[in-house]
Amino acid sequence: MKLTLTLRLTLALLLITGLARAQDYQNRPWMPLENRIGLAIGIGSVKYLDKNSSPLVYQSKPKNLRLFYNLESNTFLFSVDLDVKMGGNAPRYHTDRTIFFEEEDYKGKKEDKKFPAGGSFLAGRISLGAYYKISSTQESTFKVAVGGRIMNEMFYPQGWGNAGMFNALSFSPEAWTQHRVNEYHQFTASVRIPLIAHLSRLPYDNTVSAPDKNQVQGFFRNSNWVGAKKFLAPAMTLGYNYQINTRWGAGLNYELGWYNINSPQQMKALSQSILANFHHQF
Amino acid sequence: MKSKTILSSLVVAFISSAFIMASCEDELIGPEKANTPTNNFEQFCKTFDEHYGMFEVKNIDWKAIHDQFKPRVNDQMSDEELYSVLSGMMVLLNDNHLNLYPTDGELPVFPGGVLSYRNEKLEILKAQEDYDLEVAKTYTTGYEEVTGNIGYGKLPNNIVYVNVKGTDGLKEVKKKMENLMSAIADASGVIIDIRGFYGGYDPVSQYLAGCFASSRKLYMTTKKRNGPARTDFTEPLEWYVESETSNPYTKPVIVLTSRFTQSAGESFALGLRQFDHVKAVGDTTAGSFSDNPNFELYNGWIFSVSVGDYRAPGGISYEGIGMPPDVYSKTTKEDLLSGKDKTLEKAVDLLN
Repeated sequence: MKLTLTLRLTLALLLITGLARAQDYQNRPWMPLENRIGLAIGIGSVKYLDKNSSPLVYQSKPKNLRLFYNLESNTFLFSVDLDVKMGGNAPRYHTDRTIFFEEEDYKGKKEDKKFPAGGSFLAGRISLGAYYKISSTQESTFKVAVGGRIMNEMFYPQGWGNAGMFNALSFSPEAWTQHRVNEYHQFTASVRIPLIAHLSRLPYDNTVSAPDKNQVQGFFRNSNWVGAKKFLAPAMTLGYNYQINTRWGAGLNYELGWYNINSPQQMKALSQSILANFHHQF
Repeated sequence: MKSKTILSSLVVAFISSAFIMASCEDELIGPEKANTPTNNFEQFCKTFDEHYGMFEVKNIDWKAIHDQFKPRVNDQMSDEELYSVLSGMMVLLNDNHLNLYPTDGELPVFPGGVLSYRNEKLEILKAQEDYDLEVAKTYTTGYEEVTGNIGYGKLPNNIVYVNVKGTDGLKEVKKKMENLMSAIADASGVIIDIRGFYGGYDPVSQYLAGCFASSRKLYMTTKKRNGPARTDFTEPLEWYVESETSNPYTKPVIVLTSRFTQSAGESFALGLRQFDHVKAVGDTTAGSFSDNPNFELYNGWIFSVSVGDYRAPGGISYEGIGMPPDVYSKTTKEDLLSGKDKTLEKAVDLLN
């Protein structure tokens, strides 16, 4: 009996909330982002010079996949992103390297083997952001929000060398703007810069082996909290969204990031990506 | 209207900064030096100077080597001449962990074999002539692979032959070795053949050696370069060998070694040899313990550098020397061609 009553009350509350949301939703000329979930795909360009391992500039043109979720109220905006980049990787001026092995066995058999010395690039990022919309702009078509982002970002190039590898768990203040041109068109832009990061890099010797440690554990042994002096990584984004209807939208996002990592030796990288996204609002 | 102006300015500023950043790549990432033989030679020398871990233990004057070869270097020299210079310098370090990988597909990897000095004359052993797993397998029954790099079979008189030719992932090895240790628990003796163990990951070797450990023992101390000065080294790391398995094998063990037993193969042998129930039979190992990451030159060539100073208990370094066996035995090319493995036969005799 008690259970049935609870169930009825819950259903009634859900119905009331749903009706209220529906009315509120219909009254708004522009779909306010209560919830937005989306998928973005695109291409990118990553170039880096990691003096800890190589004097060569490496470049990759990875494919980019992003899943995102945004929750927006009148005063706050939250976002969660999962971003993956994958592609080939090679030194900028030596894209077709081949290594030649001469092999012999005791039976007198000689064999020449040639292998391409290519590599691959994998980058992953998971981030969580929270922003407060500045009150004077909350009712405006031009909104400004400030907040922060906690992000874990990884560069994992693989190949014959070790250049370019890092993992950074960072906290960045971030500024975000949105301009709603009309009921269909909207632009966004943001800029962030990490203040502090838990940075993992290959050590000066470029190796990971240590007693009783597997390779992943060996890599993460070399982790430290660092400030902007050792991990400077400003990033900017620019987005355009087109509202197809009240439930669906599409857009374009451009992102530019620059990295200046000074641990244990300098690594600089430039990353750009452009993505097309589809999102659903609910 | 005001907001539109602000946003337009923002978009313009953003696009401009993106354009500027993309066009100022050299400033933002850093320029590469010109790909010239002189720059490549100096980069090669600098990398060794700032990363090689055994100048002191081998008593090597790298600057003198640089000065000796420098007159042979000029910007008009060919790739073949540069290859000759760089490989000539590497040979003087007497280190089986150093490799030069030209990347034009024409010049071969140097040395492409194991360095061996006999009567003060350098010989590069291109082909391994003292071991063939297929020949060793003919002495066994029921040979089976445990992992991609570990296999075992039975020999007469309840002896088990275990072959290790490399290291797999630590997690996989730990899982699979439990089965192997159960399978060999009742054997009267075990022969571990690492003559074809050319290298891998030291912590896996540490775990494997622990499967045959009767107690916890220090077997290796390592330190690695952590700065450009010759004295810049990490704090020493101590490597202990001890059993992590539920049933370590502590009855008589013979480990078979060769000039081709290298790197993680040698650290495995070093771990095993801390115990009285283990005896090494075969030839002296390659003498190349240290990790050897790859570095690069402006011409795209790749080369490896031994960055560590690895010592056995008592501060002994086997780098460039190799670990001699307790009982010397060598299978010859002729033996192998006639299907014989004299070293394996010797080990069986010793266990019987």
